[in-house]
Amino acid sequence: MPWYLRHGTLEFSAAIGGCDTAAPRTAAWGLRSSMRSLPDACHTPGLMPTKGIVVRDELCTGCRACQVACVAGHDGLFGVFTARLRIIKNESLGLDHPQVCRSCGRAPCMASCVTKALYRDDTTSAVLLRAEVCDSCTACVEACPFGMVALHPDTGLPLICDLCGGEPACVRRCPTGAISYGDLLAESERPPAMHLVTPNLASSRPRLGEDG
Amino acid sequence: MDSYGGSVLRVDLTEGTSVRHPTEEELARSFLGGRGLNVKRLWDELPAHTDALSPENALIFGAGPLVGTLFPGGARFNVTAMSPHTGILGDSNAGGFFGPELKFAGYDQLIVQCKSDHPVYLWIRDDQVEIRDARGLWGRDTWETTLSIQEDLGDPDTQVATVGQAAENGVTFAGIFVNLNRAVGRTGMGTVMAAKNLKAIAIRGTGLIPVADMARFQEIIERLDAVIYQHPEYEQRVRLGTTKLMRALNAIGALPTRHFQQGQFEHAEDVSGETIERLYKTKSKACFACTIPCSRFLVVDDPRFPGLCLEGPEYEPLAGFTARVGNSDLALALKCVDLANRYGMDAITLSEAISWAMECHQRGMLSPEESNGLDLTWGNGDAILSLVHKIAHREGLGDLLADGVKSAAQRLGKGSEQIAMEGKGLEVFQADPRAIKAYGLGNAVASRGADHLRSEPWFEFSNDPEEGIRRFGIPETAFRLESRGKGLVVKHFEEMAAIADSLGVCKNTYNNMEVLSWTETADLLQAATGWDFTGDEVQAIGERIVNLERLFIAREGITRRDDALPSRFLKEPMPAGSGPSTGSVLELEAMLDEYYLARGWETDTGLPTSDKLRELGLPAGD
Repeated sequence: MPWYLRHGTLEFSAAIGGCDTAAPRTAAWGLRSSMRSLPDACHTPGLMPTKGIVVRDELCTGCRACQVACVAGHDGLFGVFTARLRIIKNESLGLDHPQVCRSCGRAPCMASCVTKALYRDDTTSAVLLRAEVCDSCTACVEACPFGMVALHPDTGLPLICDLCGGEPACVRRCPTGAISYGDLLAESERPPAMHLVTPNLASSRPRLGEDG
Repeated sequence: MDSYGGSVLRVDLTEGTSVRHPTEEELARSFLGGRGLNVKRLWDELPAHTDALSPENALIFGAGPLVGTLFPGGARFNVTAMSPHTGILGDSNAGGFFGPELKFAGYDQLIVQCKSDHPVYLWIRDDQVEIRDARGLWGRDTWETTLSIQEDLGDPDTQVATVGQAAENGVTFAGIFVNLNRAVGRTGMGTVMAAKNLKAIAIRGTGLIPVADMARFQEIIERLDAVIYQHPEYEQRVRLGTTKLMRALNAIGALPTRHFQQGQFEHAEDVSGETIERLYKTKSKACFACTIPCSRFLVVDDPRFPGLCLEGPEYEPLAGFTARVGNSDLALALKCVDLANRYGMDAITLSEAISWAMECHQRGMLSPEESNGLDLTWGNGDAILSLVHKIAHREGLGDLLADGVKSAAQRLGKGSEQIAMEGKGLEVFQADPRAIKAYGLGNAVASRGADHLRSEPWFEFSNDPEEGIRRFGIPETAFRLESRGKGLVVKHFEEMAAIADSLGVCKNTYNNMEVLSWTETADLLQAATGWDFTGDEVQAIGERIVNLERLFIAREGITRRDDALPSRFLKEPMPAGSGPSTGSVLELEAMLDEYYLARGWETDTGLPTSDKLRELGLPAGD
């Protein structure tokens, strides 16, 4: 099955808790907690970055502006298909789950790369690509436990979030703060803008890039 | 062609074939895309007086050059065909995510022709086009159809446009629905689709669209985003969307209460956007890439309607199922909106049909047999719900109402024609034209029948006479209860609306919030397409589209005498209980004279002059 179909499959969504069919509000919002945990293999306390992208599902409108900004920044074109992040949506329940690269502390993509094309950026902690040594072997695609790596359909190179060198275009364009970038703890405690708060907004407990 | 999908896809449902050709650059330069390019195509290819439900009718989906770009809310696609509801130009659009997907699949237009001999759906993935059996989907509602197709294809990112049971049953005002809750609502485009035995269109596009000058485009969008974030309406639009209008229109006495018998509704607060936000809103939702998420997801906790959750509603359906029918039960109104979405009907027309029946009942024009024993007293929730079901299934009184009120009143007689609130066969929206006169004029002259979205002349709410002088040379243009100068206002905003629909952007931002001037639009288009445009040229494209639409409906027999509204708005002053609008009537004839003059049209016929048509590069017919 081509990766782009696997990317969006219902089974995949269900596996990470994105597409439950149960209707009640509490159950629906309860899904978020099941999406947090990171497999032990990716988590090494000492290596956990302190900066990163924080995601808040309950603020995400599902608009995909983040994906358009990502593609515009990296490809110089309009589209969403080669975005380095995506949104899993459940329109019948009104749920939107932005999926971002976690820049894992012990990154399985990096570990799987035999040509050492993937390396860690010291300032941003992002996993970066040396395109000239990549042989498009797809090991990193297979290795990512979140399904967040895909190959670019034109270049064959892996699409991994490079955090735009520390100023992520997706975050810049996000109109609600559903994705934000900075110190993980500080960002996770930042209250949402007042016009986005309703009495029924699920508790705005954030989802960290790593866990939480 | 930069910022275009690049191709036009034609599907012949009789033959089961499809062909593709490049989008014509000279047409795109003259009509942009979306609504403009659609009406051009229909004008060129559809013979006059084509039967809307015959295989000869063409159903055209079009997405303009800003769809799928960084533009905030560059999401809208138009569907155009001969309308089975009005017998003239059918055209309606929706936001959501279908339009961008059409572009990413490489298409600016999708033209569906002829008719399949059994129910089918179209499956388009980039350049692969498949016509699939949809017998198992026939009879399903819009939600079931969408979710079932996405599940079959194993891909929830597939965008589906579908019709519900109302279209299958031949309700003439059935719409096409995308993203479950978003309606291509007006003029019966869903009815045309179902008449072709086409249940749905599923699209997945993996392409990327080139742009002439990305840096410049991004720079303009950043400035535009800043304008939006600082706009005085920004926060309220995010909180309430268009439901903010419930309070606002009630305050000025413009709510269509009990079928336009009063301008204020005593229960307006109970059914306001603020009340919805407090009781049911769980989060803000948005169309593609929009920085003003004005849609809302609602979870309605009400034991009578288990599992009721929906996105929206906009002000129009909300007012339609509350003030217009005298209903103060908010959860019931939301249930009606949900049913309209699932059965797939235009909620404006549906609410007019029900409220018209209720006024007929009030005036003794409907016998108990004719009303199927329903107690059509204002605000009777059971009767309202029952009528929604009956209309979708064309049962009893519902069968009468399923053709719209113009036809229903002709069949019922007894003077009910006088209270059928329509223009050119299309039902009037959720505000009293006597209280907002530019909107009244806009409804009377709109090319698809009475409708506000052809112009959205919000300027008359500004109460800024100096700005009125600056823009139109007439201070009265800034006041909603004045008539003078409104011809100029409507002309201007009709052109803005035509441009918004043809670029594929949202009129909430483009018209009502005026986030881009003509010159800024020209700059943005230039960055997107690489074509040189001036502000005046962009406005001229809008004017060309409005004139071509006029030619189209003139070919179907429309003249000045059809630019009319029901006599209630023209003769009966707004009754006491209409707040600051009490006593107002619409002086339509004088406004029409002024409008035709502003347009360069003949005032006695309301048709474009040969000089005007030649100036715009349209066929002058002489």
